[in-house]
Amino acid sequence: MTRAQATRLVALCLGLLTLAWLFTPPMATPPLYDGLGFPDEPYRYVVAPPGTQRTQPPSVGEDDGLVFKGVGPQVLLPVSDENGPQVQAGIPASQLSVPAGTTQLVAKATPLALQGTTPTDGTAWGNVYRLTVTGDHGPVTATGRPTGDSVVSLRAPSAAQPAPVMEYRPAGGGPWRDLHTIRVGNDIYQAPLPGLGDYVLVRLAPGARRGGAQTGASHAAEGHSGRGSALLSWVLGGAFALLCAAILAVRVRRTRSGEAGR
Amino acid sequence: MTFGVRVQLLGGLVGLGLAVALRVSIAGPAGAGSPVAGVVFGAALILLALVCGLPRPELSWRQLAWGAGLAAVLCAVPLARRWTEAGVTEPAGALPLWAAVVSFVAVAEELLLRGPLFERARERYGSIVAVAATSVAFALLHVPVYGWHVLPLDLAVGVCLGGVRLLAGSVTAPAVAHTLADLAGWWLR
Repeated sequence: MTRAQATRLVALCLGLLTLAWLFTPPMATPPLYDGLGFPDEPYRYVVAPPGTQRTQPPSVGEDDGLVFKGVGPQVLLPVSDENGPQVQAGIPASQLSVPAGTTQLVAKATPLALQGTTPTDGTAWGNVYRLTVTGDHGPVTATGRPTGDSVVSLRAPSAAQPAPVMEYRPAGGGPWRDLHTIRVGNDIYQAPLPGLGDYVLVRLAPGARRGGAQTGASHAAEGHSGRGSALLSWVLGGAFALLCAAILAVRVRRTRSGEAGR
Repeated sequence: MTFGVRVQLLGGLVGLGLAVALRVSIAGPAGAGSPVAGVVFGAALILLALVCGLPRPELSWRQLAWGAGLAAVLCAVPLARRWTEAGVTEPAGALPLWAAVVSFVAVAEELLLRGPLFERARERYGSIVAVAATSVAFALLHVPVYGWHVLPLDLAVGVCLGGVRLLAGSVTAPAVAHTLADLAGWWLR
């Protein structure tokens, strides 16, 4: 390669890189590190258990939206600021009963220490998150039917298994009840959002059974999905091994025929 | 000869796709957070590079210099951002495992893409196609982990890694660049 060609190549690379950075949404580092994703920052507790790493206090997830002629935002999405977020929720406006004259809604997911009744089937793992929605003309309640957008996701303090169950108690208090919980990330668990109130992840006590038919179905679905995923991995691994053998065979054959031709 | 080159090139690309699918399948909901899936993926790429005919990497200061230079360029924008924004609290004790898996996979990707795939594409179609094809493959293989929005940046980074492969004359330089840029990410976020 001549010096002029090398110079042109370097200029092309730098130009492309500059353009790409300009047109890529802001991100912390070049998106190359696909060996293992960055671990989340340590879990931020309201009341940290002994021996855990010192952190900043947990943040409050917040989202707001304007209401115009009785029509509000389609979904309120409070998300906390940790890396990764410890709470994310989707609260559809159709699920909310908004007082007349309301012009603005504010949804919050506030981290709290567990107070009042405790889950009976296990121990709380991480903070309790209280989901609230307030309007400028009085309290807002969630009396409507949940939709597909009604979900809440909580990050667990670690990815340790067995998976926890998300539990919910309504804003006015009452006993905790299990929600149909699915693992949607390394240490992130999602459940439908039945209403405003408190949410917490619970590590079930040994021998405790998940309550509710829905959760039982979830167990079955997760088991089925796990077997399907394992089977798919074996099939893909087998196909990969066959492909490698075929490439190797072609190479060996070509090498031998080349040697014989000489 | 031509048939063999085409089989290795096409087989290598198909194998790369299978390795990505295998990784996604093993990781499940853990996604990019699964060390096992990362190690299996890296091992699959190295196996594929070996059967496709991995050229001997050149170990020299010149290669290191090319690699370190490109890594510095790739990290320039994140470094500027980190300078102006607060970083994140790192989980204690997580760095050794993270660094080991990330380095292994970065080297494995380069050994395959800028090794036999680059060589076969260059033999058959010339340098420009070799850089372009390996850059497209490089960008696409990151999509399952990061999403489509990173495609332009990873395409440009792929061209840079291919360009350094051409300029330095060995897979060592892009492997060093990729590994250093990945590792620097720990302190730049």
